[in-house]
Amino acid sequence: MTVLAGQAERFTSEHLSAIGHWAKFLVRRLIRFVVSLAVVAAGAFFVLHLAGGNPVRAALGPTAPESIVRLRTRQLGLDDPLFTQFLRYLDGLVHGQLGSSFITGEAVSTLVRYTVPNTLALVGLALAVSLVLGVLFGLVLAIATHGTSGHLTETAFTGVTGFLAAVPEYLVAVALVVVFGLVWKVLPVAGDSGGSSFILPVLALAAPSTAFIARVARVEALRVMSEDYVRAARAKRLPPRLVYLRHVLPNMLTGVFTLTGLSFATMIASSVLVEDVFDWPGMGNQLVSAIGSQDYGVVQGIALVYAAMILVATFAVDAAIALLDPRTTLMEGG
Amino acid sequence: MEPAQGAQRRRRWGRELLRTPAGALAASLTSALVVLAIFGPLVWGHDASHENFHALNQGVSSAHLLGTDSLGRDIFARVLVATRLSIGLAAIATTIAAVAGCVLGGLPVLLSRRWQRLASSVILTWMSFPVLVLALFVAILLGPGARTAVVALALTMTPQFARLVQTLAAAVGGSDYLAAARLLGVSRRRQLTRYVLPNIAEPVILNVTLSVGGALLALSTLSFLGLGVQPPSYDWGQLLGNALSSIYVAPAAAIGPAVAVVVAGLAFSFLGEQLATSVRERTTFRSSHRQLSGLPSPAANARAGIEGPGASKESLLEVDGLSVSFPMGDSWVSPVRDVSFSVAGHEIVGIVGESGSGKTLTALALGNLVPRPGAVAAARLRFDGKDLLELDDRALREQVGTDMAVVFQDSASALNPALRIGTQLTEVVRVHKRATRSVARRAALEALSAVQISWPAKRLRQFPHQLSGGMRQRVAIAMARMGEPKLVIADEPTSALDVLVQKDILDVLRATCSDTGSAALIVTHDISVIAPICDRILVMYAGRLVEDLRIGQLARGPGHPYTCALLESLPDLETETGVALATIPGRPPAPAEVGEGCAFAPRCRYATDRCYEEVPPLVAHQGGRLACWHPCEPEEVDGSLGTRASTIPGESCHSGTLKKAALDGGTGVRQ
Amino acid sequence: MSLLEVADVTVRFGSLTAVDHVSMRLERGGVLGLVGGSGSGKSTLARVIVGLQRPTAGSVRLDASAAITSKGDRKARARTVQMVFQDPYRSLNPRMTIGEMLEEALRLRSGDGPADSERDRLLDLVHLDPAVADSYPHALSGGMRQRAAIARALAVEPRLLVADEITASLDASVQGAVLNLLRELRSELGLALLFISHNLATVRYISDEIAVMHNGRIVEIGAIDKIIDDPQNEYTRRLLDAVPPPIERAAAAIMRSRPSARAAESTGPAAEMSIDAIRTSKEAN
Repeated sequence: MTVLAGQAERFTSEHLSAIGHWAKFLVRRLIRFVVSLAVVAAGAFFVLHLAGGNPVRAALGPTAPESIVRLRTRQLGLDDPLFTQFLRYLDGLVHGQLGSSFITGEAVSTLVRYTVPNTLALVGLALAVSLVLGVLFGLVLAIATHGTSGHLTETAFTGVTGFLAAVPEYLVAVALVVVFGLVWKVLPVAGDSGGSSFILPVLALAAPSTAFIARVARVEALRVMSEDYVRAARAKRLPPRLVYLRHVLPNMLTGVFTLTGLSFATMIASSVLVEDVFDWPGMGNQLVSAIGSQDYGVVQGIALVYAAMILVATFAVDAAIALLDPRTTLMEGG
Repeated sequence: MEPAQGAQRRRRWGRELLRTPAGALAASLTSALVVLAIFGPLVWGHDASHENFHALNQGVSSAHLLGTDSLGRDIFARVLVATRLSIGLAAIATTIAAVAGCVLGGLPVLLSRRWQRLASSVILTWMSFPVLVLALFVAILLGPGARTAVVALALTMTPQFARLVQTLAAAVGGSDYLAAARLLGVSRRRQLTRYVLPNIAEPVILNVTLSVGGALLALSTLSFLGLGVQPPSYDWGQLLGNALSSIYVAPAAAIGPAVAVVVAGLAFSFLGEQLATSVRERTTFRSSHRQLSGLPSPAANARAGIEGPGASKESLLEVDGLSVSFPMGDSWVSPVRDVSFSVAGHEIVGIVGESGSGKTLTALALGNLVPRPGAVAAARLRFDGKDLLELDDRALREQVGTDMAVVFQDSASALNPALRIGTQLTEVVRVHKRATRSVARRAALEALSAVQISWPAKRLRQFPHQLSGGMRQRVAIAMARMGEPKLVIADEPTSALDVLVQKDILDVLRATCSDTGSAALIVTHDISVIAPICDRILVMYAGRLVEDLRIGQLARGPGHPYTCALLESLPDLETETGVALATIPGRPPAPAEVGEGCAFAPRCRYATDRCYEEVPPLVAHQGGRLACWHPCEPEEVDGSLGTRASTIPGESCHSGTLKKAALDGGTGVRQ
Repeated sequence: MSLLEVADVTVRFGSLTAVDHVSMRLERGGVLGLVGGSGSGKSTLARVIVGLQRPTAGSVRLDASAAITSKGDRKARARTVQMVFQDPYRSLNPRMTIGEMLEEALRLRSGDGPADSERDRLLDLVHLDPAVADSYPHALSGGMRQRAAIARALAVEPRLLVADEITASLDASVQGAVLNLLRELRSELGLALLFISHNLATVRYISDEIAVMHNGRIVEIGAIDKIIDDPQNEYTRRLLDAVPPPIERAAAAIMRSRPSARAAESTGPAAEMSIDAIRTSKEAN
């Protein structure tokens, strides 16, 4: 009787622990996300206020009258004690306020309201494209270069992807502008005028990442294909499509996400420049002009938005990895 | 001695790197860039800053290869001069990050675990900071400029290095050799300098080289944005940024710096990759395009082997002249040479051998599972009447299907960690017998019960890592039996298991075979473990089959000196404790080390010249088969299976009371 | 006074209890075998004894000294007890030659640079060729590495050697040499041994006494012969049952139970052949 009770107890506790592990893992990651966000926000505030000189003066320029500078400073609340400003800042953040422009006084949140969706669309599309195409190419190439055959294919693949992965996105953007703007005018190279204008910016943003992901995916796929469980699947005489899709793919995706997770963050950051080159009406464009005019109020606000986007992406990647490989939830410090 | 050894290793690096054309190219490219960085401004400095108001914004011409900018300065010269700042800043940022990363990642390993955990969370949180945001903040704090860019970049790269160093250092920190050093009382400083650092140096240096390329690109990005190098200084990124506004008018002004950035970035990454390949000491399993000569062909090797016991037209499995070879450099290495045996239906056969014996590859070859680039050759390989050599993957799937099932050694890696047990069990019947989901599920439950797993329904939903090693192995056996196999091939099924579980697993295996009526081929290194369940034992040494004997024969006394000596040297619960164990001097040879003649000769007390020159053929002997020029005679037994007579301590069986059969007249023992 | 006294040692990792109130002692020159399945806690206990793991409770006394805590004591401990690890491929620093490794250990014992002869003497003690001193670990086989590891441990002249599954990773034909070496060292140097293994047959061969561990506790301890002949504990009985029988008995049992084995024995085209027949057939090939 006691034996049965003991077994029943183990049954339920094992089930609970399985769910528990996942929940605990998510909570750990969530905490890290919140902490990072908090540090970024606080950092943004203090950086701005610790910078030497008068930021308003710097933004308005040396010729602006002193009275205007003082007025703007008071308007922005920059002459209040630091702690008060910090509290006001935090309060504002909670309500979606991201600060104001030093030059025009406008709220940053108003400024970015219509540009954020454009940036999100561009980045989202580029992320999806690079992931799907990268994994696909990687897997296909792994099958093609598995073993002794395909030596030439392998060299060609590594060469092309190596080159493409090393070129920064803004350079690809510039090259595309030159080609399609000067030489072969078939696609729009500036602005957002609907469907086809997405093509070049997404291409520029996604190309280097796709190449990088494809390289990683191929190496991961080859590693997985040499694992015992793939051999076991072959030993069970399963059709190759099943072996690749069901046995190889999930296990290689874990490795791909782990190694390329950071590149998503980089892509979001690079979108700033791509938007600049293509004159895409997104946050990046605004950021670039704010930097140019030294309007650090806007810079800080937009930087926060980007930080939040990147941290969300990182969190999503971690969650995806945990979903794919249940073992990661058990790892310490994971 | 130490500095010399160190220098020797570095020289080896350099030479290996320059040996390949790719490596030489990478090295020369980066050297050229470094030279350019140093001397560029001296040579082209004047042209780069010479303002010429008569030649503003000109296009490409013979005087100005890339045209001129808005102040009439030669762009080509400016691109060349910018090399110093671009590469220099990248190098500085990388170095700072590398040093900081090494300290942050490496030091906690020498301190307590609490420090390690703290450092780990700091690093991981830091890593999630977006590089752009860091750069922007630093720019706000310090104002845009080269210093800002370097600081921002160093801040971004440090956690990445720290993570790498931490992982590497943790591997060293958890290693037995560091524990041994601590035990001896080695000082902490020496632990760092002689244990941790040398073992992590190579990957770190490689990473540094790779990172310089990445840093270069990142810096150019920042300058392009206007956050980096400010006028009047200029680097490639800034040049590119300036050229962007007039790109439609003068594209060459943008192409120059763009090409420079890409080429430089690639050069360093390329160098890093080449260093990585040259440093890696691995046997290249890369076959060249031309046909490798000398692959041992079965026709040349197969002898008309006298078929062993059980062999008849109805043998389930017939193997004749099987060889498995791998390319190594310019030639081939054969871990399995000329192996012939047969397995009858319902028979349980054990293949026993040590490292280098080729037993695992033999089993894998039967299932067409030899990892590439291995090549399998055989005079004959028939299973259930079908010629395995003729069938390709698809034909194997259709005709052999699940008649041959394989159970692998390490169940942890033989079960897919991403799939539930149920999926892995049911797919066998769903694919081959086209069973519906419910039928397959029922079959899976039956199979799990048959291997005596508790709570079978619950197990179906679980993942492999949630089960213990013994349970996983039972699942593997269940998986094998679901296909109703005629032959189960088990590769070291108990080696990774706890000793108490080993016996259970073997019992399960035996029960499975009797339930399904299948034969079994069990590969193992531990002869005493499988003796209780095998009908016949095949002994392999250095790639060859040296003895094939029935279990009764094994008890009475094997014929091959190796088998004999092996049995003698393994203690059991009745070995005399007062005397030294019988030992076999030397060790088993690696596949590449095997010379002419009998592979066991160097370790055999009775080796003669002939043993070193000629490989003994596998011939019938005492109801089994044997490959030896001087087999042991079995002892006289008094009608029952008694224990072996005690031997002279320290020597193997065939020195004491057993007679030696001098088949060729005995030319004396080689000293 | 005992060489080693383990008093009520407990080791907990979070909620997992690896070692549970273990007490035992070992006299000078004695050999104690420690057996148990995986997860029994024997390796953790070994690490506590040598000082690589701090116990949650309890103490370890070496050679009648006070329980070892401070750094000075740690040096004294190093001279009293040393350990040889299971995996010979991971217990030697890949970046040091065998000679450098031994010299480092010898230096820790005597302080000044050791003579080459000292190093060679150590190598000789473990039956390794002096030329091995110039080799890196990756050039040696598993058995040789294990012997080098033993030499390293002996360099500081310990009185107790803890051997944690040292033959488990070795080939069967090589294990005997290492076991014989341990016996030799015991009789030549008066070395005490704590021999940890899951293989009861090997433990029986080399030990005077045996302690059986299960789930972190010692379930049975005593003279080796007594325990093997008359085990009192259920777990010990299971361990004994799991030891494979000697080949002859196994063969007899199997022949009794399996018809196919019996059939293979009596039929078959190649029945008992005489020596002459073998010679003839060989000459014919």
